[in-house]
Amino acid sequence: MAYAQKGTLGERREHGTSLFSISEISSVISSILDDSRLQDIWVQGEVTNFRPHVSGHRYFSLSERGQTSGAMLNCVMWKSDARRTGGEFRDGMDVIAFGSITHYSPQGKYQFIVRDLRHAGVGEKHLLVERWKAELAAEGLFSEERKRPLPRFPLRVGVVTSETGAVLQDIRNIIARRFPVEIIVSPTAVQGDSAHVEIVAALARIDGRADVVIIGRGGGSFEDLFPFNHPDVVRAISRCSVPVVSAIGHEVDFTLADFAADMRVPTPSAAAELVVQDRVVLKEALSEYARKLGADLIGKLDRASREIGDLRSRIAPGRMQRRIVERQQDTAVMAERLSRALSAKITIERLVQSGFWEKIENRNPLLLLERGYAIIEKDGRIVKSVQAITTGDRVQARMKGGRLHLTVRSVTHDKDL
Amino acid sequence: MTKTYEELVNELKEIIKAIEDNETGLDESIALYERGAAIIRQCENLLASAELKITMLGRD
Repeated sequence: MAYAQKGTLGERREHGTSLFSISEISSVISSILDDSRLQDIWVQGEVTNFRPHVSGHRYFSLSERGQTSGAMLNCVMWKSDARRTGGEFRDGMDVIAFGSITHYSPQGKYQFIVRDLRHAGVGEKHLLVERWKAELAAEGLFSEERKRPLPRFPLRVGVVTSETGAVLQDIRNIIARRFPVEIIVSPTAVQGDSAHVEIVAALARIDGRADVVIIGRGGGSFEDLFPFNHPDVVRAISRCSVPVVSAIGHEVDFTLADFAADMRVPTPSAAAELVVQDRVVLKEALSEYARKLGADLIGKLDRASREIGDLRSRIAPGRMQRRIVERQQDTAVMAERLSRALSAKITIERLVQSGFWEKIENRNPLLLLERGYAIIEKDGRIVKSVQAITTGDRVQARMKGGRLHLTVRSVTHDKDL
Repeated sequence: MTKTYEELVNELKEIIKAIEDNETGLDESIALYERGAAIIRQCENLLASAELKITMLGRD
């Protein structure tokens, strides 16, 4: 403990015992009061000696109820806390107050600095909620890992709320405007002693019928919202097989249901906006996809076209040209030969048809040899008449298959010659 | 089994990714483009035909 700093405290001595300065002893008292048992605690008592101050701070005492001479606690509630807590405040009220004991050294007194204050009946419920909160948190129902993402395009939106309240109208209006889908309403009472039972049943009924569930209630007092703190409701929300969005009370109100929900939003309208996307925005997104799709394909076609252009330029155009010219020349030559061959053939055919070809064939002297005739040659020249031959001449007879070398023994002339 | 809007949009994104991929050939890209265009029309129809419907469950 801080006051055990023996070297610095009570160093001066008087009549054999330690002598403390006021600030020293004040510091010891402060450090003693800085005890976890006196910090952030709830205290129940009756308001007495209430003295409102022009500054807005509240000065009062808390006493044991019904006891005039019992223990008493001096209390201060600063202006900001008093304003936030608000409400009626007077002597004789049975309250529970939340705060810490501090030592106010200028006046040498300890006091309870009250940060929150509630009527005892309500206060007890607050304490209950605090206890539930701790229990449910220990069960892990509020952990971040449990939170599920919402479906992006739900087809059926479940709503657990009063069928008559403004909550349903707000949700309906927003969904109709943004992206109309099926709204499945599971009606329930949202306040009253048995509301938590109804809420649990309504959640059970809608589970499996919707892609996402909004659990909603308009603003109200702590008492009004109390059913949404009930552990049965909290457990039903965390049991739900689809994501749950809570929109309970106003932005400043938090219920345990909010902690268990996958998403918490301040108002039912905000819940609807969160759950369904705006159709206009979706259409814009589609246009963007369409543009991108087209641009991507055109880009690809452009690239392909550039590639072809590139390949074409790489196929050495000069060499290609020369080849083409060569081929063209080859072709021309071939064409000419072909045309000549064709015309020759045509000529021959014509001749054959006219019987002339046969005549030409017949006049080929070599063909005569085929038919058994011989040709007489003398000194390398064909002998056309027997008159060119005299006895003793050496001649050659050309026959099929070769030549005869002959010496003429006698010459006989046809008598008509 | 008709696809949900979400499934269609997911397929569309895949198609765009595939076309952007250099590995995807031109012929395939053109086929993908046609599929993508069909999906966009389908999505537009879904958006245009969306209708509000309220179903009230009984309290039994």
